[in-house]
Amino acid sequence: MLRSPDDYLSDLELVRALRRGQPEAIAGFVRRMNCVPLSLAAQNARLGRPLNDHDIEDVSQEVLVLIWNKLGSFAGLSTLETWVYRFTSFELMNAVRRKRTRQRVGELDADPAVQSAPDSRTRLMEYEHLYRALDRLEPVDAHVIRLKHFQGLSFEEIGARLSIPVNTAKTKYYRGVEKLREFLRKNADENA
Amino acid sequence: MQAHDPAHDSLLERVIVGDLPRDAAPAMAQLAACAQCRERLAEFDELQARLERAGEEERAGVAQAAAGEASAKDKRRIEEFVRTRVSSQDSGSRAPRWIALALAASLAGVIAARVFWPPSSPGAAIEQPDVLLSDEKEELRGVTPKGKTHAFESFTWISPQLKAGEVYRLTITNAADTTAEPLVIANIERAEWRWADVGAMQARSVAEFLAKEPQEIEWVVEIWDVGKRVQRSLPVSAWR
Repeated sequence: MLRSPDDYLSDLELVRALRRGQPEAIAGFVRRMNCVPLSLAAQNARLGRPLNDHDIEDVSQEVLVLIWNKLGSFAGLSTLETWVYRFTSFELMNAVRRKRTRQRVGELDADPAVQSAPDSRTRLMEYEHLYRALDRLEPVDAHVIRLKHFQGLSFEEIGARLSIPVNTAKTKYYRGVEKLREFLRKNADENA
Repeated sequence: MQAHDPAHDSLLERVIVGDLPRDAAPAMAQLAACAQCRERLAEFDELQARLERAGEEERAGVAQAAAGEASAKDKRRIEEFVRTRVSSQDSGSRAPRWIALALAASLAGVIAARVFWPPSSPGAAIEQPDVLLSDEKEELRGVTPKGKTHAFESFTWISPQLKAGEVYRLTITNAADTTAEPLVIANIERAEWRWADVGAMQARSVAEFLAKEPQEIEWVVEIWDVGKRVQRSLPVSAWR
């Protein structure tokens, strides 16, 4: 779904209005949050359906609580759906991990569906390491990297979005990827 | 084989941010001739490719979710959740806003007291109510002013015991522009923040800070587990 820069501002306004309790914002926010169960179901399907419908419902509720608790940190740098996606992704991974752990210790009946395809698992781990490493960066550096690679913006567009000079955006990007490289290298060394 | 030259660093940076095209032969030859730069460049390439893949996955996931239609059951559940939270926020938010205004009034009183009375004057003592702003999950609770007269200089919060490797991160932002860089970011190991504890703030009193900074500032406390935000308190605003 293509969105204009004004949409990001609208999303921030929507969240602010919601936090003020404006009725039209509540209705709009409810509509937008329909993406939570859909996003979870889609990601679950791509992972080979490690979670069943009941699990997805539980995770969906957890994500809603998380989103609600973190609404104050929504800065309008991406659409609400993109912002929400990260929570769904994170919570889904946690739920899959929890389920695998429970299964390993025999608390659950064996469920062959929980064994996702190896390539999905590898991809899941790869993104998880990346997301965790991104969360360790200075927030503005991580914003620049996300805008560059996750939203495909140019440095000029990133500068405009964050109200910073283009060269500052580049410097923050380089500083961020340099740290990411170090984090991931360390992580790879530890795993090795 | 060339030894690493510090000048290579800026060359590498220009390549990574795309200021220098990959077909700029002399520059690339210089980097290729340095083992350290060659290795770093290869790692950057791999990292950028991973970021691109993650970005593609995210965009595909967002688009897929946007194209679908939630079930009637899910829609009802979401609506019920949001409306319940909004109504509990309504009943709870008036107190914090009122309290924040009271705090601001108290702070103004403190400043006025300091101007008109010396600190030892009994007139400087202003009653400050203890305030608790509760988080939804009641695991990490919002910033609570501590003490009676210097509420803005010291805060405490209620939290579960920190695990090894976890710290609290306090962020103060301009409430009118939360996209701007935070005014203060501090990693703290105990559930308490004192203005004077933050290195960069030592030279500035709370009154100086508030005199220069925005009309409304917002505090947020998070628990960071090796950089990952585990829990977050509700943002707490204060007005001058």
